[in-house]
Amino acid sequence: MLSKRIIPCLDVDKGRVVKGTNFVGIRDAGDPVELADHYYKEGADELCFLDITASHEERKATYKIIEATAKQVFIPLTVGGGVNSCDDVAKLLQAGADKVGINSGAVRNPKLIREAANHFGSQCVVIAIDVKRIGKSWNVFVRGGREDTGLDALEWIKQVTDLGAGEILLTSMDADGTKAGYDLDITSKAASLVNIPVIASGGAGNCQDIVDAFEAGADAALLASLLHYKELTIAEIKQKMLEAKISTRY
Amino acid sequence: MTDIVIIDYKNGGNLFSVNNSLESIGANTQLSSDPKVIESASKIVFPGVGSFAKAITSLKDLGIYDVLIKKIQDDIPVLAVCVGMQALFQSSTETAGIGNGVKGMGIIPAEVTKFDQKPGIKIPHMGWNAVHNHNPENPLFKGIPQDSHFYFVHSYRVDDQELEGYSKATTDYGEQFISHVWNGRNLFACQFHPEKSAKVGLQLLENFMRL
Repeated sequence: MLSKRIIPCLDVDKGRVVKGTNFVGIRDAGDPVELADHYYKEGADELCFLDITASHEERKATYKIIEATAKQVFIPLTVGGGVNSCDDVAKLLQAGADKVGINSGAVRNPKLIREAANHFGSQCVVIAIDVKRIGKSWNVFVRGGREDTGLDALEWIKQVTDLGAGEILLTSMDADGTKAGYDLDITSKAASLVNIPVIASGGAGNCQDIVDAFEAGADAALLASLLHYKELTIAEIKQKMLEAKISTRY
Repeated sequence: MTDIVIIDYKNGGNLFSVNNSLESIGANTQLSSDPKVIESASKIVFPGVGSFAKAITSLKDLGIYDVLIKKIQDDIPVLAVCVGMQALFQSSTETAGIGNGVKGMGIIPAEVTKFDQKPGIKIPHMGWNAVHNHNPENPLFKGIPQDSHFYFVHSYRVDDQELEGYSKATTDYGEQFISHVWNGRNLFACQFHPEKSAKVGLQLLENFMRL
């Protein structure tokens, strides 16, 4: 049976981890390669780098850290942030990413999804979607959550799937940072709507929240500060998953 | 001296991860699409890149196809991964749309087919899944417990069946399919990606390196 995945996510700016991490025993807590290696050894099923580097020129640092990570971390690596063209996708894959996350770039140019899927295979096209509840439904936001596109989230999820997305990374802006649990409502609606994996993101506060997301239909759970601040370890999460009879790799 | 030649069949895919993982365990590797280099290799990794038809066509265009078959027949250790594994079979239904008529290498007598559409079964089969029933004599799995999790990404598979002369390992995904085959000698084929399968994957690669 396919395991549910635990995916630590690191925000990277100019080759350095931002959003402080709180690790003991790591020489350089700002070094994404060291942190990636730490999570790899802890039992992460995949890793995600979100590149928030603003300028194009400074992105070279990102390629360097992907290359270095791919030399020592032997689990799948997804890299997202600022991906607007097939050329951007190619550069990240060439550096050693296994999958590429596309967010605003897909909203601006939905054809990019089909192009990337045709060119590199659906399995490496992860569409990242930031959603916020508006009344009874959810809208898609872009530009780091600053801009409401007016798109209905579920319609967009269906559309990107039809265009060839291989996976959906679904972040609830309402839940993000609250530690009150994932938005199970949108997670379960998305998971039952499409036949590609849905990664739940935003809002986890404890192991039960992660179990709840899996039971709502998520295929993977993205985790950031909860792991970075050592509030939970991957081993603790997987123990809880085992107890809840959720298929996990251990 | 090069221990392992990784076949680069110019399919635009990421061969670095196979190379990185082998280098991390101390293997001397060489990526090559030169038939002469492959001809003289003492061990070969045939990685999984791109589609079935493209893999076969590229091997032929590069003049590697017959060399690889000969190396397998000469009992040189060969590790085939993902589409590399599939290419060893007679044919694949993946060629129904594009590359119609392209046949596989025909070394293992069976057809590769797409996963059946079933409720709750997402295609591609992507993620970590357990590999069951490997032959305890299989040197590739030395020190690797039964039911260990490996990383998979694929939409086509060899469904569970008798493969005469081969021992197999299986994986469950809405059905039982063949995730590994071994000819009892030199040919090892994995549907999963050892290079992305953390510790057990590296163990498997190390076992291959030590053959």
